[in-house]
Amino acid sequence: MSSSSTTTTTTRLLMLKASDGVTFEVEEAVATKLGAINNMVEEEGSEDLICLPNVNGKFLGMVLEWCKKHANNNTNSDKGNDEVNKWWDKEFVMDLDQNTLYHLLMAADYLSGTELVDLLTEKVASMIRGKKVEEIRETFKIKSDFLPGQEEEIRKKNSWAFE
Amino acid sequence: MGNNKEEENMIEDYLLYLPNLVLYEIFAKLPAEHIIELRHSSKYWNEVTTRNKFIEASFLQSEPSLLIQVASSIPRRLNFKLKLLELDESRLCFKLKRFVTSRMGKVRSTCNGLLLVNDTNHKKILLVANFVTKCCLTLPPCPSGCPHRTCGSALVFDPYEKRYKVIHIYADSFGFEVFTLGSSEWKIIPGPFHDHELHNRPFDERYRWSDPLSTDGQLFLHWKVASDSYIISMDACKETFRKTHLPHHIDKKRYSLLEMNGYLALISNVSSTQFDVWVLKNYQEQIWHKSYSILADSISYLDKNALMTTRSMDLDPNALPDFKKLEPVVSLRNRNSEVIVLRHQRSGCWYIYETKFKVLNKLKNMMNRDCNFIHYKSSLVHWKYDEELLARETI
Repeated sequence: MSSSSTTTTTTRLLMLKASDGVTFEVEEAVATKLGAINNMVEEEGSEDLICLPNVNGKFLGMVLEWCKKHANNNTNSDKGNDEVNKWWDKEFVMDLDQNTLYHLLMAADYLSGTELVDLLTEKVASMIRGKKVEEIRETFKIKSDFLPGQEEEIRKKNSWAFE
Repeated sequence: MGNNKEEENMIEDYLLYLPNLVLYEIFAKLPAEHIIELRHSSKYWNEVTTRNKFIEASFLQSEPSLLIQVASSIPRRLNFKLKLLELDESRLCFKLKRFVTSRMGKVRSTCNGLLLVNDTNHKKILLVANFVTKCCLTLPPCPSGCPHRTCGSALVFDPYEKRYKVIHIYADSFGFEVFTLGSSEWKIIPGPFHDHELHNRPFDERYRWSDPLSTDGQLFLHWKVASDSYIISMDACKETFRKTHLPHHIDKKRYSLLEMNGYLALISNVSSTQFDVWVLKNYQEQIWHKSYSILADSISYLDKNALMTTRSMDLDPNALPDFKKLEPVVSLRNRNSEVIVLRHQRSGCWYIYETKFKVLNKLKNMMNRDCNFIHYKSSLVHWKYDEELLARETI
């Protein structure tokens, strides 16, 4: 599975190799949306092949899809661009299952994709916001690991000790 | 990363075990009250969200808001209604929210999510509370025996000593009273005027100290006094006083002191159509900068009710209020915008001015004219024993 992008002759192409050997050919401007790759590229005499042993192909592909969208949209200086990006981001995170969300977050964090981490953490935060304990546990499939009495203790700590 | 299919199928609660820093980033996006609920969901998340590092990160991201306080109308009972105002910058107004509170009394000052409250049911009692974490500390009575009806008090956090302090003044002769949270006794320091300076006092017999304005992360406190050329300021950490000279002579009735973007700002009313905004960028050197002017003919005025109501009244629907009648009261800044709230001295109506887009709006849903505003940012600061407030790691 290798994806190549339409390029002009002037842009440098990088080859990213995921943990499972899947490679992606991407423009430098796209890959450098990721802080970690940007750092590698800025080093003098850097090679065009970059190995990323901590990310597998499936999730690296998704991360790069996000980068491509944002790199492209940044080059146009349209006014409505922000709106387009926001709309696209919303679509991007809308139907992510928790397994994918987890691995994407790990990948984005590892690759220092600050904006993407921000988008994904906001998605997780929105799954918690305004929910009661039981709903939070249900959402995240959390089994209560409090010992008997411990939860009670926290409850007590969070209620007025005076009055 | 786990790309082992079997492993993936077995684990369901993936997101529970994200790395700490990623969890901090997720949880810091939630309001402090939601964190309280979240803490009951699992031991691990409870542990992560009670760490000092997280409490600080969460506070830094917490949305600045205002508390609005109105004395209740029940005669002979000193009750105060407290509501939370959040800025709605898209519609240039405030969202009014209920604020969790028992009838504890009057809020005098806030700092890092903590409220300094003067208990109106038990006279002479000041207390410090965090309404989110439900922690409360009662201060011993002040040495001056102040009944806390007309006095000045402020809660501050000293970032060098990492301690919270309550600074209080009843009357000049008692000096300033300082109480460090977690300690057991008040300390008295002399007030700003020495005997040989008595003739220099900015106030006469009738002058009463009131709650100061705090600026620069609550390092400095300021009192407007009966002078056209200076105010009284206090360095809350060093506990020193001085006169802060105004940028120029201004009639004391024609200017307001506000905290803007952390700094002390002075908004002077130049004419019926002009306000000047001055900012004290450097406290030590007393250097004021004139930031900008608000000019009636260069701002847009929104009054959505104007078209409907003014036909019957003899007013131009687009008429701006006379600036001489507007008193700047408080300023609020969030990520996207900065606003100034103004009160019409005659009608008691409230206005809001957005500084970037220069838009003035008349507010519809505000409480009555006699209310006061207090800056507030919620936090998860908590303690079990008062002594824990003596040496803080962060906030």
